[in-house]
Amino acid sequence: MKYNLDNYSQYVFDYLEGLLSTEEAAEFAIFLAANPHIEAEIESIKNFPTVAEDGHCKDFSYLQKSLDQVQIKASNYEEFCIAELENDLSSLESQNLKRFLDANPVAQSKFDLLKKTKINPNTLIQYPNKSSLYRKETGVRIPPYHKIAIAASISLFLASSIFYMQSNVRSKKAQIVESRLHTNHPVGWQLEDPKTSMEYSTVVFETNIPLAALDTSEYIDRETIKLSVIESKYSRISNDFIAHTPSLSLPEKPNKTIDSKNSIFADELQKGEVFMKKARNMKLNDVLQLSISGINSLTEANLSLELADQEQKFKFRSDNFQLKRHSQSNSN
Amino acid sequence: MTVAEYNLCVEKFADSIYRFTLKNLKNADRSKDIVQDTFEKMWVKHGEVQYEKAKSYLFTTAYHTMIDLIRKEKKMVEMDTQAMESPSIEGQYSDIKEVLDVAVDQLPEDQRSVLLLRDYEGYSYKEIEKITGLSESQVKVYIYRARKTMADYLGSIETII
Repeated sequence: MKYNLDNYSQYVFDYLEGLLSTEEAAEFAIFLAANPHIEAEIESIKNFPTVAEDGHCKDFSYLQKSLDQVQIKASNYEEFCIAELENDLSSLESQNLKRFLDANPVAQSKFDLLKKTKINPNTLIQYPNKSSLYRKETGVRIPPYHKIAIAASISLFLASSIFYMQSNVRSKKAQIVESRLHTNHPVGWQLEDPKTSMEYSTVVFETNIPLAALDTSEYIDRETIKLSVIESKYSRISNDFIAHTPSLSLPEKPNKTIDSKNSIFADELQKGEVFMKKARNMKLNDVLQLSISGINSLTEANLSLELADQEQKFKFRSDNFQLKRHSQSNSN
Repeated sequence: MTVAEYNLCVEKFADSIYRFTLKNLKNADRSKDIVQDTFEKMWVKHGEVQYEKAKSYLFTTAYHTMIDLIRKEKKMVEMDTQAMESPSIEGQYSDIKEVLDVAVDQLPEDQRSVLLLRDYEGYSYKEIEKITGLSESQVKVYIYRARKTMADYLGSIETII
């Protein structure tokens, strides 16, 4: 059927005004019969006072006509009152309405009520993190959902190892690729935003980001992890992330299992949840450092997350971190 | 639009878009996400969007993101006529603003969002038409119906109190 709960409203006026074809009107009538509450709503639209001067009921096109063609009376004065509030009346019509209201206290009371329906914004309500929206001429900002994805992806190195060992390895590739995270840059992570094709040479983390509590993950293959960021799903900013981790080259099989230092994550990992559930009240930096510790513990990757050059520090309460991988002889 | 103009848009419109989405969604986190998403989208297109049209671009983007979200989650609020006629929380209001808030919350989604664009931002029917994709006559009817419904509700509450 052409009509459903998501689209019916755009056809209501055509239906009421007889602009649908015979077949369309019939189909719309069937839809209404199946949805009595909508039919009732449309009935109320039909009954909306639309009495013209000659007493004949008109359709909604009256709203497109000048109201000076219509006599003000008990059956239609509310529309004139609203029109007055909306500055839709001419000065002559306003005068006519005023005379009508002066002679009809009940109507005047109704008009007083209608005046109260003008709503004003509460200017005390302000967007709480406006600084995160600003841009710099030369700098780039990592969107928060990317930051969450980055944090989640780091933690997921831990999870991936566990999943790999338990191994129902999933061959299915995720359909939606929102961002790619890779580590082949010598000094840090690079993040490519497929929407903008921008590349970020350094990851900028805010240090006070509330973390998602129930991010989940799938181990897809050795170099690919699918992240489902629940918070992002709610906001529809994005759905899933794919983290590509080729140059970290996690071992085929981790040479260590989770040790006591990371035991708090074990339950969540076993259930397929990221450890962030335990870390919900932690600052992002704490979580990242803990993640790095866990990764090192599992993989002997010898990673560190360090505060970058202060001169590069962004001004919006952000710190600029670099993820480095150290070898025994040098760091790259 | 320059970066400076983009930042000026943040300064001028982030709060109003947040209030608009918050009033519609009644969910701070999702409203924040929509504001964030809206500005992300404008940043991507800031080279194409003229500063003079930025506000309209932002509200159009925020509106459609919000409507998509509502529809996806099937949380479209239907008018509860019975509730309007027989308020269940009678006598619990301390002032007219609270009553008004309830009345606005109970409006159908399309009427509420159109009314908020009208009252919060002072948009004309034509501007709301462009933002929402509704026809101008639909916009007008929604605003008229919303005011009538709210006035009826206010009247019923005042009678009770």
